[in-house]
Amino acid sequence: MVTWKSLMGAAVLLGTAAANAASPPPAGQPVDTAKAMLDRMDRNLDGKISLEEYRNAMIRRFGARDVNDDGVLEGDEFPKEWLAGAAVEGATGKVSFEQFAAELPLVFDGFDADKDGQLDAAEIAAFAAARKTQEESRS
Amino acid sequence: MSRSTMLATISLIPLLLFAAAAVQASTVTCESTNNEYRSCPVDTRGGVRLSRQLSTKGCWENDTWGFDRNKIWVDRGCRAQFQVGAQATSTTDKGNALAAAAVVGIAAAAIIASNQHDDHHNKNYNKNYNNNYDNRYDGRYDERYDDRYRNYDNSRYGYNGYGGDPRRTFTCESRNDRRSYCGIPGRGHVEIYKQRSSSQCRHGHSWGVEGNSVWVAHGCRAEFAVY
Repeated sequence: MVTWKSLMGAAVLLGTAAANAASPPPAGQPVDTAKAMLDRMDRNLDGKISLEEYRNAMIRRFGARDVNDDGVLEGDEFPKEWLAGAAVEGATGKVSFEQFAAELPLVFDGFDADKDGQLDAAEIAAFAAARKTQEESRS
Repeated sequence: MSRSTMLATISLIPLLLFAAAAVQASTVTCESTNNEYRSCPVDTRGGVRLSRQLSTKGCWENDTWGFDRNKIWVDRGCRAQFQVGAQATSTTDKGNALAAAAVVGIAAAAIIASNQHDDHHNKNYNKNYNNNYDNRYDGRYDERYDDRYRNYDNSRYGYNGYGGDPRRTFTCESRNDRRSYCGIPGRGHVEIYKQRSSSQCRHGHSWGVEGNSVWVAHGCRAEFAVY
């Protein structure tokens, strides 16, 4: 279904931008690997990413980005980097916290192939691979 | 009561139960302000699902939120909307999905392109998006100003713009089931970052914050994050 396929693309953009503030990756390099996602998100260290783990990590990211604390990312805050490979032209250039928060379960479900509420190793790998494809499509 | 009436009555029961469950489906907002425990009375027998997190402070089931038969509770700054009594797996209908997809640009562009044949739909999509945007905050969330944390190096926040990592992390461990205290490095909101024990770390039960320290008990061992 086109909608889901598109949302999967959104999920890639939303979900795998896992970088460590302490050691920023070289510019232009894909930063998202399955390991990076686990390092960042796997709170109970079970080797999987639950919706809750994904949701909290992503919401933290939004909060960090929202420098003026108005609940909306726009202008300089707008996360173009989360949209690697995207044709941002024509988009609204705004992200509200509530929209973002509401979207998270949906994009997570898009990658939870077996619908068990967890991204296991294979699903995380698919996630990271999709992100890599996205990165490469940019260059 | 005749046999046929009785049968008819019995056969109605599931329908009535179903109708009751459908009527009860609702969204409940429950918010921990000032990091304090808050309970929100609601009949949870139809199930509870956290449908939308409203705080950047963590919402972790059985740690900073949970429910029993009569209530949902939240703690440590967790604020969220919960879907109660509904078995639905998603509250996001197509219209909302489109609005949400606008959030990430590429998806919106792709969807709009794929829906060129459906002008009506596109118009609604734009309308919904604008409405959602205008209503983004209604002033209830007074805590949001201290509920965000910033990138630690704003001058560089464009480098990749990801962010969201803790300022500091530290480990605290309860040995032999005893309570231990660990000083919090710096100031900020403390959450469990990685739980390293098989014993569950549950706020108020096996871990907590007192002044400038974290305590752990009942075998809880965890890496804590300061945001």
